[in-house]
Amino acid sequence: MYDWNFNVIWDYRMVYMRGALITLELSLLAVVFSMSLGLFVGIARHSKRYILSFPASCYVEIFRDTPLLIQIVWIYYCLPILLGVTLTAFWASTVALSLHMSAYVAEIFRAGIASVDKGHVDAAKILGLNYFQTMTRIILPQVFRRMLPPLVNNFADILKLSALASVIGVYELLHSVDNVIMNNFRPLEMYSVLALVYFVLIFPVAFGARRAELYFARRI
Amino acid sequence: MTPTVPAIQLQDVKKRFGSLDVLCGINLEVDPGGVVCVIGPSGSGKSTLLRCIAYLEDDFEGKIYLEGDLLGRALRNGHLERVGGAALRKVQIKVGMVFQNFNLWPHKTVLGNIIQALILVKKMTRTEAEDIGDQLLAKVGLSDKRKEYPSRLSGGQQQRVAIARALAMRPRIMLFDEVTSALDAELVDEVLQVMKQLAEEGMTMLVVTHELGFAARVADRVVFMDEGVVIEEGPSEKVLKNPSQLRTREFLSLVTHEEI
Repeated sequence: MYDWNFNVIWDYRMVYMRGALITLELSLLAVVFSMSLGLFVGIARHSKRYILSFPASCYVEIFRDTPLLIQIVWIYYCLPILLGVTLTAFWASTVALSLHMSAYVAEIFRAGIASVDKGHVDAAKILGLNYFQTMTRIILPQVFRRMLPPLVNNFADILKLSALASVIGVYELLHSVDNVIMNNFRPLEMYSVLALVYFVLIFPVAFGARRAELYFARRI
Repeated sequence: MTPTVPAIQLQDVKKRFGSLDVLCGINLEVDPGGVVCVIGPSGSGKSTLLRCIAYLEDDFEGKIYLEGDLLGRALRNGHLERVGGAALRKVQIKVGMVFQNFNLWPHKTVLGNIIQALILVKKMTRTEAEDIGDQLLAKVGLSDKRKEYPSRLSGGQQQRVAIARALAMRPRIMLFDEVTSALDAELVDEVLQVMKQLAEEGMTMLVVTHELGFAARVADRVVFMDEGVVIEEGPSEKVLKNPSQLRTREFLSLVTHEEI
């Protein structure tokens, strides 16, 4: 019979706190970067112009169809060799996670833009709105509301995938906890609480998004 | 006496989608202040005709003049070339269009739908735009709905908002594409009433419709189209009551459920 002992956890509360801060920092940066890049790639992929849609499609397939783990390692170890660009472990993981997730975000944007009634675009066109105005005032506001659930999924994915940064030694949640486990030999307790910490980080966002969704649903 | 320039003039307009010829050389004129109804079976190219005049379809052949100005094309060294930007916009802005499915933007209020283009395109302040919006809502009888979202409105109300939105840009020509086809029978009248009022105010209107009663009462002329060709055109009384072409007669008897 395994002898559970959660009392030791309290001593390591600062480890969880520091780890959570790094995880959040990394994830929020990745959310911002992947949303911005994903928006442009998504619009390009939706474009009728081959010169835009083809490179965008290549980008999505390359980053979606290869493992994030390899991308992190590759950016950390290969970029210095190939381009002479050296990134810290933190920034290498942030860049890799952002590039990886923008492929998913791009697909969400593309599908969202494609789902907007073409008649709404016709109406905008005939009233004289240009492409940029139509995109920012008519299409994207509608898309954002519909994209909320998949974007929350994405956020949850980003937060959990950020644990992969541990392979190149970023002291985010997983790596910090692993480090402690080597000293206290309490992996089951430490990991259980780790899962709980991820939950605490992700759940409020999911809950808030659901409320926002209901709010929009009442209006439209 | 100088001849009046037609509000709309089409010269041999052709449009194809892939291998399908949708418009096969349309010639048509609408006088300023004229109301012309276009009737015909579905798939005859009526909507495409309107979409070309609205420049929503831009790769047509032939020439479309709006108040004498060539739409989306310029003659250079005897060749027709496409133009975009300001040159296109100057002509395109003469046209307003209302669609079968209203196409109101669902995330904007009734007033928001109407003032959006005034603010973005005509660069008005919000107050100026709202003044115009309120006047137009009064005109279509929906002042009390200004803060509602379109989904809260009936189809007839949505279509009247769509008309107000188009009118906000002060178009010289209004195109109506089967604007009552998506409406329940009891909501058709309120929309036709607004259109009739517009016609009486002297707006140039090109109306694709299945409402033959409206065509008879309001239109000066009726155009019957089939398979991308104008089969018959003339004063509405003549075309609707005493058509000269067999296909027109067949169509009219089908839609009025009478024996040929």
